[in-house]
Amino acid sequence: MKTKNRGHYSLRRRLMTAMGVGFALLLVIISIFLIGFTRNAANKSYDLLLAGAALSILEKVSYADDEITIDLPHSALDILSLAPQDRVFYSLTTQDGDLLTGDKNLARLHLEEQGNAPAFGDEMFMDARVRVVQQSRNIITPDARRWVTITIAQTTIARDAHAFSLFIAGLTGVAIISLIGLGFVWLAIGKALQPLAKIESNLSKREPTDLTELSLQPPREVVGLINAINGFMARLEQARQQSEAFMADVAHQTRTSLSALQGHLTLAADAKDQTQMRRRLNRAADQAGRATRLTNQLLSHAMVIHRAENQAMTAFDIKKLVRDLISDMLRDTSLRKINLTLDDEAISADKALIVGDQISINEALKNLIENAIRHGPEKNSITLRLTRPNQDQIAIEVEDEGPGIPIEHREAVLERFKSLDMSGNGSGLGLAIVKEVADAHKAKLQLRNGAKGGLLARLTFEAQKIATVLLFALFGLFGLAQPDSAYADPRTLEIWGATDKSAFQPVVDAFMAANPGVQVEYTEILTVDLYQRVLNKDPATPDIVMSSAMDLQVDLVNKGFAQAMPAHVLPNLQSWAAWRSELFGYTFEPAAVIYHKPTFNGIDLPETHAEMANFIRDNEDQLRGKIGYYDIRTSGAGYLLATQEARLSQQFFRIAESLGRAGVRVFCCTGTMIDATASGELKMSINVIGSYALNAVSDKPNLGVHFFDDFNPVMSRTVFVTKAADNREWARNFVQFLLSDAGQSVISEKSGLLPISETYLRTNEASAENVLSIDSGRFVPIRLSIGLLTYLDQMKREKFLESWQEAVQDIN
Amino acid sequence: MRILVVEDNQDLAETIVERLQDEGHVVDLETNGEVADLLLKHAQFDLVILDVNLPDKSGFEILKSMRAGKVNIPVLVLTARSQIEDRVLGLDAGADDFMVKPFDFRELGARVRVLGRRSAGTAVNEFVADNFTFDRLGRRGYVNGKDMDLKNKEVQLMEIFLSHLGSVLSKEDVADKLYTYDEAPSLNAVEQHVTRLRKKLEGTPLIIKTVRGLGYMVYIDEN
Repeated sequence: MKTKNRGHYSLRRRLMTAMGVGFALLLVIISIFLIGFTRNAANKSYDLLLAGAALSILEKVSYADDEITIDLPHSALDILSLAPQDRVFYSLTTQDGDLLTGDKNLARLHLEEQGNAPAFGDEMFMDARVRVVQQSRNIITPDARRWVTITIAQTTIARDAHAFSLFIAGLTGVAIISLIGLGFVWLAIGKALQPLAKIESNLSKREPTDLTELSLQPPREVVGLINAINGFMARLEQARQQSEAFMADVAHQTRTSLSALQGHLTLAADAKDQTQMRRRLNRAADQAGRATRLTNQLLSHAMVIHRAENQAMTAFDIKKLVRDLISDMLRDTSLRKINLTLDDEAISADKALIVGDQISINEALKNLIENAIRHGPEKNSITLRLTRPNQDQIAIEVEDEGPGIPIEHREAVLERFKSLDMSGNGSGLGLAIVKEVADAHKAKLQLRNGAKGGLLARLTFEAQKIATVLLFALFGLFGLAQPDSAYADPRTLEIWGATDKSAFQPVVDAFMAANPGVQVEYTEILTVDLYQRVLNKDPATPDIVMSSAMDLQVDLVNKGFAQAMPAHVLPNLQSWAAWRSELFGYTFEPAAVIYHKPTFNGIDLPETHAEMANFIRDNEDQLRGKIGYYDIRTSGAGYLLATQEARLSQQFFRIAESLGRAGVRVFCCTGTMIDATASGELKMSINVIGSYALNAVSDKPNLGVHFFDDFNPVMSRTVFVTKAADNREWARNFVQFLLSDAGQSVISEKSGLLPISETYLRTNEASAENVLSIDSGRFVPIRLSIGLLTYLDQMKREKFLESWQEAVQDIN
Repeated sequence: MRILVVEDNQDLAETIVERLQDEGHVVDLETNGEVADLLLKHAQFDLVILDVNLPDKSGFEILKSMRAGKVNIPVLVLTARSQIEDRVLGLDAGADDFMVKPFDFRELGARVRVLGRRSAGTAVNEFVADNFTFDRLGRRGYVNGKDMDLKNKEVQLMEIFLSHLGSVLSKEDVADKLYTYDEAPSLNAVEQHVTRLRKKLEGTPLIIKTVRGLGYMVYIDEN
């Protein structure tokens, strides 16, 4: 028996796989719903921020001095900076499309529905996906009612992240439920398969001879299997009985035949006369012939079965086999009376290939022909015919002129020892052999009535198809790789910065020393110029932009000029001095009061802003023309410090007013103020960038630096890698170096700037007297955020400068 | 006829020898393959009956060695296996006929006579079967001593048939042997020649049997 060695598949695994696929499909469907749902939910929450910002801006729109103005509220952009990573654009337009303030590109964007209620939409702006809110308000002017429209666009990073986290939370829940479901399925399959285990144990405990029915009470689903097993066992039992019967038959046939032979021979030996002996010997010879034939057939039958199981099939020419067989059979002189006809004209080709075992097929045909001879008349006419019933089949027919086989016996004659002529020469094995061969070749054996009334036996084989193999030649085309066009020298790192070149050079040198082979080109540009050139997409835009104007830097980053870098590689990063993984603060720049020491000998400087206002007012005459201040109309740093102070304290305009009365002098730059103060030309200067002052103290013994006790705003110089950077890798390395311990220590010790790192700030000599630390509470950092854009608003800036100028009255 | 029987089974060998001697032949028995091989190279026999399955040297090897040494004695191969391989091997090695054991001794006798006639004819240039005589040298055939008046092609046909007594010749084989390359062989013409020859052979024991679709077989009806 052949064992088919095939891997077993697991019913459980199949079911689990099917269920898994089902659940996965379910997850996909739920995901699709979830995506929509979470997006809506995230939009709902974040749209509230947008709507709030829009409303707070619209509330500040007013009509005064014959024009519509807006005092951009700080809260509007602060609300939006609750999404800390997102960039924000806004524009305020009139109904005629005139831009009042904000981004002129955004002003062109129109959502379909507009009106009193906020309208929302998803748009693309500055190459980014943005959520836009648009809301209009009616302003009553003396001439007419006029509409103003605020448009705010915010990138979708925060809401995407929110939607994603909601989605993940939802999906996790569903996934857990799915897993639990699959667990139940697992258990259920185990439970469902239990009856099979019972069948298994029942069958495995059986004796091989026990072929009785399985007596189990199976569930309805397994009844079919049980019935099939029982049916199979019944057939097995039947086959076993048949096999036993066959053995018995063989034994019976052989022994009977040999007994008869022995009997005839014994009788011949005991014969009384020559004639009697001769007659008995002839009968013995006949009997021996029959025994021989029976043995041949038994051997042939056994051989055919054996070969069916073991012989490899080969392709061979059936035409040649038939011709050879006939030639061989006709050598037998006893067959000369028979009229044999070969009809193979239907096979036009030279060869008729079939796949099979030649010897078995030869044996089968020989048996068919011998049957035809034996059962036919003395002057028999046998026809062998090769035909092609269709393109894929070849049939061999053997037709005789014998009596044929009645239709009701045709099934039976195919069984062993079922000859219709048991008394005569038939062994009962001939057609059984043919049947075995046909089965082994998956050929069809048909018995029917021939045209001449005899039996027509037909064997139909599958013909061998000749496959044509076509070869295709494939030609590959080999293109030459084009040489890369020349890039800017990858080893030169270009930096634009607003810091004094002399101050910053030590940092650059330290970086070049740490990274041999890299050339750094540092160009010093004033903050506003720097801002304008980057904004106008100057073709010489460098790899790195550094500036002390935090608000302008935020604006550049907001407009998409920076590229992100992995913030986790940056040590010493302060949360207040970083935005969007793009803009990073690297110095600590507190605003300070500097004073002429000899003048204030023995006099305590005011400790709070309120006291300062009083102090100036009280000493108005002594200080007249002797107080320095930034000209905040031209100094970016001065404007930033002033606006931030105005935000932080009610005292700002009081001080401005006092300064005005005391005839404050304004300066463009820190250096001049320091020099004037140190020389005594100025008694004191307020809101000076402290790092320069602290650095100057060592050279100028008459210079004093004073910090307020209530609060001192702290700026930071910021750096970003431009989107257009040719040398991204080194640019990132440079930013990383700036914030590294090595960079911070160089900044602290050699540049005269104050490092942002708490560690190096604490060890800086300036810190000895003043405890420079955010943690002290005296130093309030100016956060890098969208909020810084408020005072960059054109109208807001105009209004602020107007108010300041009103306060300080006429200056210079 | 002088016949060499090479058969290692003593019982069967003796039976064969006795049977052939009864039929009037001179029979030598050899049970050893090696010796038989040697014997065949030195002594003259008219026919060899060769068992395939010999203990020391297989019948096929003896046959091949015979044919390699240009010994053209007809060989009848006896085999116990009715498989095609044996048949093909035997006929390829140069056997003239083969029989599968167990065989009918009357059939053996008939086959021996057929093979005997094939070789005897060539040796004495005269083929005789009862009232039929064919003079190979004179290229004439006689029935009851009367000239059959055979045409040229009929003589050729006669020669072809007599050298293949008892085996099937396809019509194409006959045509190939009957016609030279220059002549256009036609199967119809072959059929006509055969029909005419068959008519002239009426009353003789020589029978030209037609196996339709396959060809012809010429045998001698011994009854």
